[in-house]
Amino acid sequence: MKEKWIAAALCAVMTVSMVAAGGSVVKAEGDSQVITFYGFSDWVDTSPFKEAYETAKAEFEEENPGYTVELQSDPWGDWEQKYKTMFAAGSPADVFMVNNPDFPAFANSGNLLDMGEYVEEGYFDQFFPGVLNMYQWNGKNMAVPFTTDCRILWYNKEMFKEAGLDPEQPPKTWDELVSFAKQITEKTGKYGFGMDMGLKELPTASLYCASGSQLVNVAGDGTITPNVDTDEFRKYVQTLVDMKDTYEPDYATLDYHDVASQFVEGQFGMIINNSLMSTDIYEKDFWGQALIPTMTADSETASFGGGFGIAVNNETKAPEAAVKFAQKLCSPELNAKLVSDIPAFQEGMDNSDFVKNPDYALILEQIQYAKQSMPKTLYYAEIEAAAYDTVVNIVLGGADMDEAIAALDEKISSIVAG
Amino acid sequence: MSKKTRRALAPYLYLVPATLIIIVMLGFPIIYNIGVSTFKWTLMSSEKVFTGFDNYIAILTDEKFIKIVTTTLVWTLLGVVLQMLIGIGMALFVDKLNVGKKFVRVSMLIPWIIPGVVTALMWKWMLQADLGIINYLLMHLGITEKNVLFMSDPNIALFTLVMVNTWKATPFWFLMITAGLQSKPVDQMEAATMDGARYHHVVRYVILPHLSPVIASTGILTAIWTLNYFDLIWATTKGGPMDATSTLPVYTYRLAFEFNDFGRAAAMAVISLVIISVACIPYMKKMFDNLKYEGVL
Repeated sequence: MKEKWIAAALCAVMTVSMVAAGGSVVKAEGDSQVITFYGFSDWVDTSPFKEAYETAKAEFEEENPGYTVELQSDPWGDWEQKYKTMFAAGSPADVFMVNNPDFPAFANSGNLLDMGEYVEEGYFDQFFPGVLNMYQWNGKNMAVPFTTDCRILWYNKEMFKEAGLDPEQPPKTWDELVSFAKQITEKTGKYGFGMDMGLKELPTASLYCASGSQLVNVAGDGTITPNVDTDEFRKYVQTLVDMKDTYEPDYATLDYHDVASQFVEGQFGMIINNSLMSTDIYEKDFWGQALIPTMTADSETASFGGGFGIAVNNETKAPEAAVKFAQKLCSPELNAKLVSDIPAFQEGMDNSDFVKNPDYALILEQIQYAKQSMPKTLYYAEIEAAAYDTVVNIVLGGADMDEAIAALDEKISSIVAG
Repeated sequence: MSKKTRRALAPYLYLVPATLIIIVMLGFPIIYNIGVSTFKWTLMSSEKVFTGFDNYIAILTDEKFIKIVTTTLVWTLLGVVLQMLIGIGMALFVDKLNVGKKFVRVSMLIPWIIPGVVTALMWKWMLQADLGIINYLLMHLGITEKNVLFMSDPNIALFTLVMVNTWKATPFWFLMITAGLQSKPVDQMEAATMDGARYHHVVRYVILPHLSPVIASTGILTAIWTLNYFDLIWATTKGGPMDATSTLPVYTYRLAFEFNDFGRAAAMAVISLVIISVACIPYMKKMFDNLKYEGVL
């Protein structure tokens, strides 16, 4: 009997404690409304960016009494998976980073708040038009452009000299790129071009962008048609095939991080990559930069342009405050401190190292020509994966180009047919 | 309620908490997943349209499906057989050791306790074509004349990953078999030896039959784990090159998080469940037979 009383007393204590604990949480939530923010920890929880996020949070909370910001993050790979799962499960964060290829899916599903209703007129005019367009859906601004990015050609001047090439004359066309890569491999015994086919994305998408073509066409009525049975796509694939002997043998499993780090270690003659800000390339003295080589001498350069937006969940209970926090992250004073990418508006850029440091001058020139390998559609990921499979089958597997491209054409048609 | 009824009900009442946990933690997600698989459920639209078996039909008629299932079966069967053979062999060898037995047992477990992603990255670098130590050793010892593309040759990549997974998972077999050997029938082994049986006969006709329940249960567990193992493949090849290492879990992940199609991903998960259930039936039968034989059931 005694044990029963002790057990009952313990249960009562536990129940009271749980109620008390629950009560205190409710009280805290009652005092101030929590705005949750979700991003990837490479920025949100990593110095030197972490401190800027804390500043953004502190400033926002001071300017908006009654609201508390909760910064949540996960590493890149988990983040991409989790923010989609959050929406699928119906429990998304109030404010979140959105990767631009994912934007159409989120916007079309009605998951994103139309931010135009909550900001002052003309607010979106400050952003670069091309980047702003990435985050517009049916004419509405569904995310604030947070960052942008582009790729450039990096080359090793020492290797150029060793191969008998002029280190001040990087390749300007695809033909020169192939010829230079082969010459470097032949003369130095090193890898002329650093190819990365380890990610299921269109390999060296920037080269294809510089053909002026795109993987699909979107008509005025929204009809999507494949556009891969073209001279541009064929020449792009043929260029990759022609350079094959200059690649590192494991190119099929390398990603752009691997390629970047090996370039910094002097393993590659040329690579196509971003600012390499996260590496110690700028401490070396062998590097050179150039605009992305074009398909022909008279065509305009272009580069793959990516980046992130800051979106607000359409179901948020505090839309005005959530939009204000999104704006805070995209403010001229803070934006450049929060990211390693390029700010998506001039004032933000003026406060960033990209303007202050002459090493980034060429990136600023290339960013003006940034675009994507196809127009914004709901099927971006599936079409890109199909194009990736085709390119890999031809380059690595030796598949017949005509047959593979015909199959890709058919595959894209079936994807867009739903 | 009479005392007799209460006594009859008691065992079932004791089972209630465990049953509830199983229903909530296992039954509900499976049923929910089956439900999701019958909808067109993507991130592209807020509407979730009931489509019946459309997702299943789309998967089963996908040109990649047969290849992915074949890859999954090779990955699982070859992996489990290798783990089993090496694990049993190592356990029998260590069991016969007179010196250093404890040290070897502990050392054998190291690969098993290393996190999957660490294992993947470690082997990825060691197997790299031109800078990896494995290729260096193979060429230095005159075994190969040129670098082997362990991860990036579509004809080799799957077998490379099977070997890496075998390295990682074999210690579990070793552990289980070693545990089983602690209760080996010594008197029967001695009798067999006195009757002139050689060691391999003792193993074949005395030790292995004694270990068969352990082998069956370990086989089920490792088959399930191997089929579902995702980290190693994703961190090394992401299912490539040319889908050579794309297994059911890898493709399910891509459907959900690359193509944002949760309905088809759920259907793929159900198909995986069916495949693994079918693959485990012989093991399960063997295990239940053994339990019946031992009077447990």
